[in-house]
Amino acid sequence: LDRPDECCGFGGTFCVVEEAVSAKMGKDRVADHIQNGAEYITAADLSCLMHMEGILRRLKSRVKVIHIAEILNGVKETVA
Amino acid sequence: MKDHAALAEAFNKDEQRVNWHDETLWWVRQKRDKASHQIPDWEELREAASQIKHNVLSDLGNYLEQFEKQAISNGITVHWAADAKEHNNIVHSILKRHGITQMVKSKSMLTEECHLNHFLEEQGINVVDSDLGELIVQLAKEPPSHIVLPCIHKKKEEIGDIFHEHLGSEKGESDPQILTETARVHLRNTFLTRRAALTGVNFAVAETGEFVVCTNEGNADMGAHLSDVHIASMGIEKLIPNANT
Repeated sequence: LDRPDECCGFGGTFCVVEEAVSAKMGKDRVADHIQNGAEYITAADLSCLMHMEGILRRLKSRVKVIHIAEILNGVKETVA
Repeated sequence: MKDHAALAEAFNKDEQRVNWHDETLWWVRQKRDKASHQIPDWEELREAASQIKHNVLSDLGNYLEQFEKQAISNGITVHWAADAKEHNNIVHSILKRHGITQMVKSKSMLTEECHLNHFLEEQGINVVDSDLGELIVQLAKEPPSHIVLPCIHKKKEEIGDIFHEHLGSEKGESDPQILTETARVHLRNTFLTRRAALTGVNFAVAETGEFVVCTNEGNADMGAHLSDVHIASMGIEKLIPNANT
């Protein structure tokens, strides 16, 4: 990633009270993954993943979102 | 006035511009990372600075009185302000006492929070901000958009328009070198003609009654050194115990 420590912008109530900033941050976070050829996005935090998954869906992207526990559990295919 | 969320929504309508703004700030972030990574004990230094701050806050009253005593013996006049209003009134009274109606000022977030410029202008005092970014937003009649990068939201073409209107540069000029030179000439004249300069304080030393003002443009030095009266506005927490801490 070009910006490994950037925030996805979800932030609990932040995504409600600062919708425009939150959405743009998520969009940029997802774009960084896509530009760098990621096939999966993983994290320990569910709300970050939900936020990015929502953006990926709107983009009709093939990039998949998978929780780190699913990787550790050896799940073969993530639920889309 | 619109709140942050509403303003952000309007700002985000122009996505190209948001991306440009984002890249600009990221470029600064990369420079910051590059600089900090060159210092091997960066985190230890941050921690040390944090502990010095905690120490000062734990005994603030005594450190402040020690600073005041030493500063007075250095020939500095010390004023105490309980709030923004009192701070602004003190600054105004000093200028009034010296019959000064024009002042040059370097970057100070404290005076920004006190809305000092606005207050002084209402009292008929002309204030010129000498930090380049602050000068640009002052000419544009805008507040700074960032505490250390007050003008990071403006493109060079927009700065060219502002300088054309206020400082007489060529219409359509957007070369950073030429625009900086325009500001430099304007400020040089300001420095030479102002009898009062206001600066912030980056930190003050309780043991010696000294204070330190840092700029990367030399504008605080130029203002303070060429003026009869130097007013330094300092937040009460801007202290370190001594120069060896």
